[in-house]
Amino acid sequence: MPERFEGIFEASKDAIGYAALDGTILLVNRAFSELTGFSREELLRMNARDLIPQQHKEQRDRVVAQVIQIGEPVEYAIDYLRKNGSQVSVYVTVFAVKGEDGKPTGLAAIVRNLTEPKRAEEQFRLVVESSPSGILMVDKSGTISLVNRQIEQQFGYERAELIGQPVEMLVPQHMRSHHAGDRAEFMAHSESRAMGKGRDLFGVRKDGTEFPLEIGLNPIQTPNGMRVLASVVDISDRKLAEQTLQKERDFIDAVLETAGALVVVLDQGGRILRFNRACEQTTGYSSEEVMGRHVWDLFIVPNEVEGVKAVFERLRGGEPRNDYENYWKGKDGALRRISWSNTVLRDSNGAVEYVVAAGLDITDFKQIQEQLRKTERIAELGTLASGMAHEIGTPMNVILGRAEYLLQRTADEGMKRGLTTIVTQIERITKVMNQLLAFARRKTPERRAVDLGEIVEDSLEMFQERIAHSRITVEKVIEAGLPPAHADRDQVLQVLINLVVNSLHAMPEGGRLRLSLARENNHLCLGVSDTGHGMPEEIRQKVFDPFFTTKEFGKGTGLGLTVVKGIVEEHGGTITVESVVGKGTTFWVRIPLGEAPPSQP
Amino acid sequence: MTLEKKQALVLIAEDDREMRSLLCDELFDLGVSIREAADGDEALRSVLDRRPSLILTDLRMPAGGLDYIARLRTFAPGVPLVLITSFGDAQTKADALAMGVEAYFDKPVRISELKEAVRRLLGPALNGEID
Repeated sequence: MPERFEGIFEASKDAIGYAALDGTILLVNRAFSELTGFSREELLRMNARDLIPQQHKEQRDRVVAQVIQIGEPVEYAIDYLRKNGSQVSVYVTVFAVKGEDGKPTGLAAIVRNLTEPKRAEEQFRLVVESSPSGILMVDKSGTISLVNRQIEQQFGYERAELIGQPVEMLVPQHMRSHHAGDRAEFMAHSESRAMGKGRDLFGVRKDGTEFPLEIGLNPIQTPNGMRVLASVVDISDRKLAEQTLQKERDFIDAVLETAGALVVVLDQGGRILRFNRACEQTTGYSSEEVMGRHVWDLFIVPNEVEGVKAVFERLRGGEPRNDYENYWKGKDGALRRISWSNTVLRDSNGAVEYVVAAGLDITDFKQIQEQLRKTERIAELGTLASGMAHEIGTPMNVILGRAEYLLQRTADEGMKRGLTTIVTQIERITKVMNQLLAFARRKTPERRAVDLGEIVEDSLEMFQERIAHSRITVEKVIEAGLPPAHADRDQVLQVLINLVVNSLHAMPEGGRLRLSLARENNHLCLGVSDTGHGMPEEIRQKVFDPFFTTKEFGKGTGLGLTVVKGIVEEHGGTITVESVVGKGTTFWVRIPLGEAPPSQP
Repeated sequence: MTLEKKQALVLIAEDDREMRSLLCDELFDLGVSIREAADGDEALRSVLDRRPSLILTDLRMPAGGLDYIARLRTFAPGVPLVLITSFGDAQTKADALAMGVEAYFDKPVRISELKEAVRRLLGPALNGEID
């Protein structure tokens, strides 16, 4: 053997030997010696068959015969006997060495120790087995070639039930065809990746139940072709936790979004993080518009900014909760009065992370309160008037009586005029007092079904003569077939008389008085219009206020419309007034139909 | 034999001195004799002492009120009662009339109307024809 080949021969990690056709060993390298444990000298005295255990000798002889006969190399796995009596698995490539005539002259064998690859395989198996995820391997056709214990537990199958089976048995029925297609696709463009990107994946257990899972795919090359190693994680618990969390979020969202209260969450810097629907409705801003902005830059009126900031600082500085009341200015500039209850949310270190403010829009409440105060003032006025009437009745009577007494006893015309004035002025005071008392002493309406149209007719009849002597025309528009209203007949008549008198007073030069009656949902709407002088807005706003009058002193008591409003409201109705200077005025009275619940006196 | 003319007697019960004085002055003109009382108790004593031809009384005064009117009715049955009260309400008027008060006036009352009522209620007694 040439020297340079000898070096390669000796350095080979595979054992290489050369034997005569009868098996006598003629040449071995160091690796052969290391593999078998026999020294080179010992081997050169041995036959190749001596290295084969008894039960495999026949197999070896068959292969050798084949090689000699056909002349092609043959590979086969077999065990070798070692000097210490143990056996070693080897993979042998045997071929014939031919002479110049082409006839075989000897046998050469390259012997590879299989124990090393087996150990690697064992380690791989251990790693796979101890993995916390399920691991399975499939070949190109989708047949399962390996599973670990986790897979058995996840899917409820014994290992033996899975090996050799198509992997689709682990895929729910409705996804199987899809899966097979995806698998083929993956094999064609294989790269390590997660399976089913953006889709929810499910596995099916032996008992038919399905569970959500996550799969990572790894293509690996093996001597037997490409395999896919899949790691499978059961994400039922995670899904459940996610669902629970989502459910909680949905719940909180639903509560926050449907609550009538305004809820705002601010970060440490006072920027808006959360702005519920009530906030949107109150301010006219959408949640998107205000996100990340400061409350005081958006909603707070200038003179309240300092106060709001101070409250915020107190919360941020550790005050666990406080209450505050301020205006919020909406997108349209409208101001709403909000009563806030503020609190803080802390992080795990106890530092203030968020400020949460829950507010109630008390604008309407304030208005009602104001209205109530007004009503109370009027009620007090009534009590006062009653008390006063008793006290001043007698002195007024003394003045009146003395004036009359003197009138009868004087012939002096100047004195008579003066005394007459005293009498008429006392009568005026009496009139005011009587009206005030009527207002103070008015009764709870005794309501029954009444025909308002009839009352309109009655009221007009009372003014027939007066209208006949004026240049006033009357227009009457009463809707046909109206249902009755639920009202006190006398009081409604009083309302009408008051309104008609006002209208007539507004048209000293004549004009048109229009009375209308129509149904409006569950109310009857009564309109009294004149084409008189009308009134400017500042007067229009005050017409229902007690003692407000535009009439010359002594002509009106300033209580007529206050009484009218009182009566209408006691009926659960409303009264409004529209007026245009120079054009006229219209009063609209709305009285409920049918059996309405009685209102408070 | 000529019947001795007997003057009609009117009891005026009123706690306000000026009002009482006014009523006295006006009724004196009718030619009646007058007794005065400043409260309800005094009026009742006066009635028991001497039965008047007519009682003109305030309602709201010490020892006054509707109970007092009821007692007057008991002690002086058949004596016409004229009631005056400051800005009385409809209920007071109804109660008074239910007790058989002959005339009811709210203060301030026109004296002429009051005198007319008194004259009408006294009738013949005004001229002393009947006790």
